[in-house]
Amino acid sequence: MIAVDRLEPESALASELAFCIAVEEICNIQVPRRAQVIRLILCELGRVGSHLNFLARLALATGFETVSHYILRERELVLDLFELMTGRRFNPNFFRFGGVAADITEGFIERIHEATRLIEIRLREYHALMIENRAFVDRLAWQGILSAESAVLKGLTGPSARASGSRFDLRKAEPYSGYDQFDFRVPIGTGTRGTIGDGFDRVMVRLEEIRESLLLLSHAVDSVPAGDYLAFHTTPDFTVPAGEAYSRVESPRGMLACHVVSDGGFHPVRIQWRTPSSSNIEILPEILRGVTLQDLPVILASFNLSIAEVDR
Amino acid sequence: MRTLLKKLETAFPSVVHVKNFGRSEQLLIEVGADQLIEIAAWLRMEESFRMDFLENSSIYEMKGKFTISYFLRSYSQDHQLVLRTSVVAPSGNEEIEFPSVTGIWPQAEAFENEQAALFGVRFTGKTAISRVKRNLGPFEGFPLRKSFEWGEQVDF
Repeated sequence: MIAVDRLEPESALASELAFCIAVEEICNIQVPRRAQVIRLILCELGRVGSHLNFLARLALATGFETVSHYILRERELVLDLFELMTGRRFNPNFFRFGGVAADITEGFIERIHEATRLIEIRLREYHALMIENRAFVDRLAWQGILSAESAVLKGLTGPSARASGSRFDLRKAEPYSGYDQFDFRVPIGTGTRGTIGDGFDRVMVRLEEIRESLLLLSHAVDSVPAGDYLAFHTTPDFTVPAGEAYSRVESPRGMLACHVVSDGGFHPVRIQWRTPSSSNIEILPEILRGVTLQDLPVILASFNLSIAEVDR
Repeated sequence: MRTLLKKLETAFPSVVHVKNFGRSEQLLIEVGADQLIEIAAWLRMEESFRMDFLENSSIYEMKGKFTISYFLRSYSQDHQLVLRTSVVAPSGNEEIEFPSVTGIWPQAEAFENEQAALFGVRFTGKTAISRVKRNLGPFEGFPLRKSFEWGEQVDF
């Protein structure tokens, strides 16, 4: 699990979840409902943290350094919550085959409510500082336009594809870990300031996704069912029976898939990852053709690519 | 989906083998390597399948065989399939030739580049030559083959 965390440190829990789902499918392990909701809460918290980091990087790329510091302040709240629940701010190593490593920490639910309320207020501030600011809008509107057809053709997924009009979100299309128990909206690009699929839409979609995740978090923490948080404890000689499984989750950057093959031995035959950034990066030669040098960092930042995922 | 697959079995009699993928309800179609491109193109173009998205492609080596899987999805028809073929694993550091599916699914570019570098598969029929060679260090061979020797020169 420690190695899986390194796949993409910003959304480490999404990688842990994909790996756990695949192994649980081969071993036919039923995950307790409580553990599923705890996993969902942590993954959504990870999504908020990752999107806030995206906004901070974009603010830096557009020259809004002060805003970037404001955003990182809120991201600290998210990292503090990770620390409270998992004991670590990064690389949490918290999910286990059949559940999670520990039950909900005392005070965690109250802290989630406080944090979601505060971040919701701060989002309005970012809106005023960035979205209502013409200097910011002009750097992104009509820049790096990605059509829905190109997005499908190159295999883009996640917020970057949804900004181009795609409605595909694995949390809705193939709900896992209890996402079907909660109601949430999937924002898509509308071309409010420029055209559908431009850099501004990619920012708006992620801003809206933070809002949706905050709502989802408030509902989820209030409806954590009673029960076990772990189906069984793995021993050092734990082996996975012969078989294979393929799991997909909606990570903050898009579709993260994991193909696990076992021959029943102590080591897996193959663990293969489909990371969203390694597919999303394929669009760059098309998008960056003819772009001026000063727009390059802004367009690159608007796609929120993770080099850790590409060069895994 | 089973009824749809009857169409495939009718179009390609005696070359298609259908079963469940692992424990899941997802269906797996096993085809011969020589039929792969023809069947892949048919799955992409046939109106009732329209597999327009290659979401993943994976290789593993087991029992002396390379097994290549294509995880397909149709956005328009809202269904999924796994297409799979196997070839005999080459000996030593010999490269193996395999037909590229980038002409059918351009999304395959990223997966094939990675498979070429890590498993030593030379994809034929590609419109563009791979521009990505992962910088894994100065050593001979292909690190994800079971025959690969993990010596001291391999430094990650």
